[in-house]
Amino acid sequence: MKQITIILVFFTVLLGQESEKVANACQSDLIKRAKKEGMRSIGYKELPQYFKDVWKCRKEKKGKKTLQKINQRTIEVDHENSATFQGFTSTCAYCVSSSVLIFYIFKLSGN
Amino acid sequence: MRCTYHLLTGLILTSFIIAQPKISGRLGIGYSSPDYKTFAESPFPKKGTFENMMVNFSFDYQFYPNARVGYSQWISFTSDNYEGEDFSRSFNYRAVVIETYFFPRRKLEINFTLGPMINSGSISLATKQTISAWDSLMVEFNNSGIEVSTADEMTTKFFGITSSIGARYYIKPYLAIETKIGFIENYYLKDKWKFQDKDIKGPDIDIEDFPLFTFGLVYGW
Repeated sequence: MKQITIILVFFTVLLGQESEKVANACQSDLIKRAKKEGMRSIGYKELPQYFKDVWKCRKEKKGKKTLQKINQRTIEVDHENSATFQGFTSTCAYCVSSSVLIFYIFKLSGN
Repeated sequence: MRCTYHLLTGLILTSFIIAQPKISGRLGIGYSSPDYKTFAESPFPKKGTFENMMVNFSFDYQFYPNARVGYSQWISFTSDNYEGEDFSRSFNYRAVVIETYFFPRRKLEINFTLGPMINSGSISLATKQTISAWDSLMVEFNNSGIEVSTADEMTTKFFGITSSIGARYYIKPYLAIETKIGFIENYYLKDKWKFQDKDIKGPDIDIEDFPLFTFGLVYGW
C-alpha cells in the first residue's frame, strides 16, 4: 500500500510538470548555451534534447545563421582550449616527433 | 574527513570529465610497405599496390584539453587462390593509443600519436576434398561426387609499437579530414605460429618495422 502511494505521488508530480514551451526553437536554453560556449558544452544527457532543438531551429527564420554561429563558436572554443600544449602533453609530442624522425632517418639512410 | 576528501576529489574529477565530452571515431585507409614475399615458396598472391593497403578505424575519447586516449586498428587483408584452393591472409594491428594535439590555426590540428600494439596474423586455406565416410553416406542416399569443403587457419600473435604525426582539418566542428605519417615497429617471430593448437613455423615476413601513411575521415562530438 505504501509503495503504491509513493508511485502515485511520483506520477502526479511527473504529470504535474508541464514542459516549458519555447516559441522559437533557436531561443532554447541549450541552443543559447551552444552559441555562447560552443556545442561541446552540451553534456551527453542533454544531447537528445539538443538535437531536437537543432532540428526545429533549422526550420526557423534565422535558423541557418544560428547553427553557423554555433559551429563558428565551437571552432573558436576548440582553438582557445588547445592552442598550446598543456601539462604532460608536450612531452608525449616530443617523444613521438623524435621517434618518427629517427625512424625515417634510419630508413632513408638504408640501415 | 578522509572519506569526504575522496568524495570531493571524485566529484571534481567527474565534473572535469563531463565538462570535456568529446568522442570521435575515425575511418581511413593506409599504405604500408611490408615485404610479404621473402620466403622461397612465395604463396602470397601478388596484388600490386593494393597488397600494401590497409583499412583503419579508431575510437578516441578526449580526457584532457590536449589529449585523447583511444583504440586503433589497422587491417591488412588479401585473398586469392593457392594451388586452386581459396586462400587468405590477414594481419590485424591493434593499438591502445594516446594522442596529444594542439591547434596552430583555427580548424587545423596537429596531433602526435603513440601506443603499444597487440597484433595478430592468420593464414587460412579452404580445401575441397572427398571424404570416404561422407562419400559412403551420400552413396546410401543415391548421391555421388559431392566434395566436402574444409577450412582451417594458422594464427600468430605479436607485440609492437606505433608512433605517428598527423594533421587534421575540421570541415565542421564534428567532421574532419586527417592525414598521418608514422611507423609501426613489430616484434614478429616466424616460430610463434599455431596450427591446430600446435606450435609451428610460419612465413618469414619482413614486417619488423614499416612506414605508415594514412588518410581518413573523423567524426566526433
